[in-house]
Amino acid sequence: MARLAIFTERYTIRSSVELTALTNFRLAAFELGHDLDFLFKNELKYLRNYDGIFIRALTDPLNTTYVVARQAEILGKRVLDHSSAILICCDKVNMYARLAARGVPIPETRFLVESDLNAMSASRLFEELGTPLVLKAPNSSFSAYVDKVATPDAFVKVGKRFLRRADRIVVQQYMPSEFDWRVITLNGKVLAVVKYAFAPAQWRLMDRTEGGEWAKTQAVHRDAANPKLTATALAAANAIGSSLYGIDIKEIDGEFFVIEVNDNPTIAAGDEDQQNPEIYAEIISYLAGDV
Amino acid sequence: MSFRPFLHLDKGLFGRPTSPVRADVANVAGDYTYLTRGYYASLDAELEGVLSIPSTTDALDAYVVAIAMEKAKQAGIPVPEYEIVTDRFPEPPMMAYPINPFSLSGELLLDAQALESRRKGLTYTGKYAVLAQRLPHDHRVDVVRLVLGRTATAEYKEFGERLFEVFRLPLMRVRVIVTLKAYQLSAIEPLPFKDLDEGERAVLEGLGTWRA
Repeated sequence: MARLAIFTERYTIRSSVELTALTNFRLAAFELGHDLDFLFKNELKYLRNYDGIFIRALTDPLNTTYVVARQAEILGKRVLDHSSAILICCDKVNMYARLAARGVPIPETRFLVESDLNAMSASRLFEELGTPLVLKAPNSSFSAYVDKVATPDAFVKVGKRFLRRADRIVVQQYMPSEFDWRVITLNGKVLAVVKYAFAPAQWRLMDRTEGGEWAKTQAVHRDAANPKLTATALAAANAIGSSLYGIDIKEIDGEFFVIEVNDNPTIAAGDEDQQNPEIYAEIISYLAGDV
Repeated sequence: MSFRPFLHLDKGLFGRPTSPVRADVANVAGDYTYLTRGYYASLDAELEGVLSIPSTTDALDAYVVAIAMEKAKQAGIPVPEYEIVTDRFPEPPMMAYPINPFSLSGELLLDAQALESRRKGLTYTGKYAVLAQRLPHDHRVDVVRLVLGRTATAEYKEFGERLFEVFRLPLMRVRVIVTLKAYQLSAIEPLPFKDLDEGERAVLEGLGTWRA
């Protein structure tokens, strides 16, 4: 029997579908013969009492989640996310550089520093990558600090705003689509496949304007998913590590392009678990060292 | 685009299997704060497969005080009594280090009044955690500058070498709590290359070269 803990935050528990998912993890642990507690940030001195820790909170290398991951690793515990997953996936420069180095298909991508933010660079990039361009701050999440720009002026203005958050930013070719695939993987294995259908007239998972909507989730059983999709997802995951990832992929004319690898992917009851409810037991088994 | 603040290290000192810190090159930017130029220089070296210090993980291990405390403890480096809190702070005096994406800078809180005035600001009204280090009543705080583990202060020779072995940051500004019994690590902070004095630059150049 393993003693496991889910490290979570109050804002996760406020969402009913995520709370239900947390209790599903707990039930899965009990059914597999393990103990599972919830652990909050003011209880971290008890981290050493557990064999495995599962982080279910918004990750960032500078917030408590990274402390939990690194402390757990230093103490020899099993932990999801791996600290390296947080470090790499929370910095899009780091993430895309690793995907590109391993030949994983991604939109055409460049990394820019302050001296690149001028009209001449903008014109060159519009010529090379097309119009519009997508600018991303490296530490953006949930579609924040991700913008489309179609003019050199907007390129410079948005780029400078994003550079307040980091020394580099990402610029990418725009790939329009009506949905993204999300493939959830752990340790080189596909756990679940879902399609996030964007709200009408939207181009990203979360429309952050007033009254904006989240994408709608439609699950596909992992065994029924296009093998080319799952192979692309696994190639992306392997370029980053062996932690738990949610890989966002665009399908364009039968080709698959990785848009992002997310650490700590959302697993909400009734959404990502629709077709593969065993996802709870599989993650618990990994944390407990059963597999 | 790459910022290349790299010193090629002396192979005799840093290239042997028995070297306490093994590396070919050192990123001597000195400020390795997450997502800054110095941090990305380390990332570039990592992605190119260069055996360099510090790694991006080393940088965060050193600067995020809650991780530095655990790592130091495991390595036998004395640390003060500490806990991670959101509202129930220990009794002052204490050093309080925020754990949030906006600031890592520690604050000295000497009494209850100082704590009350900073409690909400440090935690963003309970949203983020803080690492609180208890300060013994009889103590002093020293700040030590380390260049590849070397310091001009003889008193800190061994402590500095050990910190470099464990944390692997070529340039460090270290806050040390000195008690009657021990030197305790409080925090590791940036020591930008531009702030080095002539003696410190000479130490660097004695341990490596600017060209391969």
